[in-house]
Amino acid sequence: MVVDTLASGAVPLIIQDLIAGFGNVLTPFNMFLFFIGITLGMMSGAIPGLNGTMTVVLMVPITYAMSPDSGIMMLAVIYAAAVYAGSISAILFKVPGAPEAIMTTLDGYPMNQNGQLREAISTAVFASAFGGIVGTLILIFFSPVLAEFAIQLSDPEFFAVILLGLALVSTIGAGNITKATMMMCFGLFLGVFGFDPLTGVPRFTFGSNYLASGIDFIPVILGVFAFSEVLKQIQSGGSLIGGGEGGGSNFSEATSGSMFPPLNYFKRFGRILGVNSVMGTIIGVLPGAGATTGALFGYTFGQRLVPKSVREKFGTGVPEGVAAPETANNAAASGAFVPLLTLGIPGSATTAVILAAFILHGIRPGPSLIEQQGPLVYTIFAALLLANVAILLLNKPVVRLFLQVRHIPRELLLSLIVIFTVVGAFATRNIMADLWTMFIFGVAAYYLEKYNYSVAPMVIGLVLGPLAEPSLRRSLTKAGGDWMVFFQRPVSAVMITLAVFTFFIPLIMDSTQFGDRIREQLGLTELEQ
Amino acid sequence: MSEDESGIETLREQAPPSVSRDMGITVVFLLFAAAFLYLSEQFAGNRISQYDPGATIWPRAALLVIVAAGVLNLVLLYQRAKKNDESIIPKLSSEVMTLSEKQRQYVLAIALSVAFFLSQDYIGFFVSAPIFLFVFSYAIGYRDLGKLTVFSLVTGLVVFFLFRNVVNIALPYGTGPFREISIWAANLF
Repeated sequence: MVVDTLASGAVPLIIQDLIAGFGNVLTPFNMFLFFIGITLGMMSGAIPGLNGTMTVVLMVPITYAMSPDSGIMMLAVIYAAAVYAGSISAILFKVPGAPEAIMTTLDGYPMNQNGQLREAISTAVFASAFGGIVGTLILIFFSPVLAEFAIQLSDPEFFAVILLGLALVSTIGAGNITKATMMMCFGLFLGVFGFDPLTGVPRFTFGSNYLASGIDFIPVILGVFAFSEVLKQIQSGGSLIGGGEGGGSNFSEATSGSMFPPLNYFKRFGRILGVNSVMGTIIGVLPGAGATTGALFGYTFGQRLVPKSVREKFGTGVPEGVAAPETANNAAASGAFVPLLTLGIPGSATTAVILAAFILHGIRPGPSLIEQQGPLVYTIFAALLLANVAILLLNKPVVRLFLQVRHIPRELLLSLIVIFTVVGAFATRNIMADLWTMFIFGVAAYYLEKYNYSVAPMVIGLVLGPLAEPSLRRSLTKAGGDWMVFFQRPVSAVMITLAVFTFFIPLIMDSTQFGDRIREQLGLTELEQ
Repeated sequence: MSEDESGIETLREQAPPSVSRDMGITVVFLLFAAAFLYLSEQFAGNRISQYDPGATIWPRAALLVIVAAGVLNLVLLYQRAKKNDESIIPKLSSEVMTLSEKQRQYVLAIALSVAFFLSQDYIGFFVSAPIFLFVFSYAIGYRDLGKLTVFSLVTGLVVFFLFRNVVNIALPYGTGPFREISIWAANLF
């Protein structure tokens, strides 16, 4: 099918339309909107409490006064820029600016603390732009094929993909698989508070309206990453920006030199870039998954794509740990446009808002959209490509701007972070109890991390759990309760088998003497050294 | 803080986590899982059809894995303690506990955060944020009162107006006169 698409002579036509799309974006008014979109996207991604979805929602009414090409193009650019910008505050302050940047925090912030700020940021920029560009190219050339693939996927496949992701999560707590598993299942369990997604029966609500609405993952993220870091900094007296007093040479390195990241990144992160950009796009294509899920999968897949010596250092500040989620989340952001444009089904919360913008302009996305609204669709494609190039080009000035915070004394910066965690936790649902959730998880995470109970698997469990449960139960209900449904469909059978192997093999290999003997016999110990 | 005290603190930070506390955390997880496994009985049997495994299958699966992983973790921790000749019973010290400067700041930071969260319903964000910024920064060691006053007022105002007036997110207004003040401030722009 893919070959058909490429061999049918469609490629020259696509390129012709794409050039026309670039021509449309490069008009003065659209370029003005493009830069507004990039600026707003970066701001909303980098400031905790704001996010790309919120900004797109706020900008929808403004697009009324514009042509659909200009308005929807601007919304798409905001989305792409916001997904990247979340990594800036994640790396600088351990505060994920947007949920998509959760996984970037795990290695980005330790890199900053280790004095590798420049490398962390340039890796994030490079990986984001690469993932975004590959994702957009896949979107341009294979949208119809991917849409057909997405339609064929049903609940068993969706559940199997999530199960594989959960199995990969167990590797995040390398060396502490039992603790990582406990934390992941704790996260899965936190996701069940509130109304049962199928029957509507309240679960573990204890008569509380707050628990009935469920535990939102944003206050949890802000608590476990940002608030706990504030407590840690107060206890240790450390500095938020590593590399000497206030950043020192680390700062000058981060803001000087070439506008582009080093070209050797292609070689260094080759496998991660290749696999995660394709995998991220596919995750993005799945309705309901989005860039956050893409980042979660990207990080865990990334661990499997690097040598064990690097894998064991994930979470301590390795560039691969930044490249993996950043490639995948930006690719997923592009992938989320596939079901939107070809089926009229949003792949994420932000694309749902963009769908609303289409409808407000009297356009209904669907299988005939590309034929009927070619100029509009190719303007969006061209804008997405340009947005990712702009991320590369604007990186230095943006980072320079953000690094001005190094002049702020540590005490003021810590109090500012607390204010942003409070606003961020409150802003999502306007519920005061979310502040307490943030606080409790922040304090708990501070102590849990002291004893190597990694909080990242918990957050992943909390995000993936509410997606997994309905898929599991719908699959079984449709199959008349037959558990074999997961093995009767080829994609889900392969995924579940992979999940079982992925979970149990590291457990056996890492935790037992039997594993040590096998590694010795296979000569893997020497290779690892 | 003297050099000796600072050295002791650094050593304390670098010391490996105690097995007894580590085991304690796992036990808390086990008790949590056991309690919720029991509570899950309340909605057992709720299903949309006879083929639906029901509203308990997912939470119970997660809780059972917590129990299994927790027990395994306890075994591994016990083995580690045995191997390293560590005691799994926490040592009780008869010494009077004294807090270092950083520990005092840590306790204060938590107390001030709690006070700030509690104040939101009554005082509102507009009034409480500058006060919190001032007191919190002072408590954790910032002493330039002039700059601190300017920072607290400007930051509190900017965050309030950014979220209230630019992105239309109503931060808590508080009650009574504080509510009036917040509404007046929001309407300024």
